[in-house]
Amino acid sequence: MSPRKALIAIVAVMTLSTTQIPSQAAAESPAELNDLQIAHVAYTADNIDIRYAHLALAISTNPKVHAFARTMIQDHSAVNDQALALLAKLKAQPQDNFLSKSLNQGAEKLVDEMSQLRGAAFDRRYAENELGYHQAVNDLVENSFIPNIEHPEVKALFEAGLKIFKVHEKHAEMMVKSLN
Amino acid sequence: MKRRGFLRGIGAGIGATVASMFAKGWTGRAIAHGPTHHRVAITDFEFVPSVLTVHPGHRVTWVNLDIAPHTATARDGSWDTKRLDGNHEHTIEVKAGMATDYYCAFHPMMKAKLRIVEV
Repeated sequence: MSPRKALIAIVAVMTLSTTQIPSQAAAESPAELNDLQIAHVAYTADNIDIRYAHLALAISTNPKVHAFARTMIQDHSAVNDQALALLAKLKAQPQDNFLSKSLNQGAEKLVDEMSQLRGAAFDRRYAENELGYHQAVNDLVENSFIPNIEHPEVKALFEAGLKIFKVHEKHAEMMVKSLN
Repeated sequence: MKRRGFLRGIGAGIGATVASMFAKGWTGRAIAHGPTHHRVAITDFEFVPSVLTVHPGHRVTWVNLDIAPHTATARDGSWDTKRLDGNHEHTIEVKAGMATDYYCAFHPMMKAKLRIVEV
């Protein structure tokens, strides 16, 4: 299953299994997340991609893959720094939630899988995952998060972040093509 | 290079730096500070302007208005602003015969050009 499909499947399963818990107890679909939960998801997603990038730097010997991975670390770290600064300014703490947990669980499995690969096989898997991951997260940010974020500064930060991540998506697409 | 407020440039209302530039007549093109000093904004993953006409001896300042770090790096590697974090800037003096095509080393799809006119 592609990363994009996997993420959509996670979201779909969590959305369908919503019957028993009162809505105020815990959000169960991306559209129900509050601003602080959305911030947590974004911070988690950034850190997951940084983790994949460090894995790429450790395993790959391809200069293009290294350059891409370094850019992912820089850009996602910059966005996270901005997010943490904004939360500090607002005196708010990000809130863990079902989607952050699902993302982390998916990442654990993928890191285990990619850690077994070497050479061109690793490079192709990393590149394909970067493309699928950015497509899925960008879809989530654009269509589920931004329309529902209430605080204007948080919304502005997500809009700025989305521009960055769409550039990453194109960059990943180029990398996938160059490796195939 | 100097650090300014880190939330500037995120969006409308937040970009005090951008607002200041508009107040000074910024139109999205480079402004000459006197006849010899130009600025190129790096914003939304583009160099603005993408083609800048300069003469040898002029100075060009690249200022990064994005959150993501960028560079302005000669395609042949002969000059480089090095990494510019958000709201950081770097100035380079234009020399006759210097490389004119440049890009962002972190985001290679970002490309621009200096048009050097010998006087």
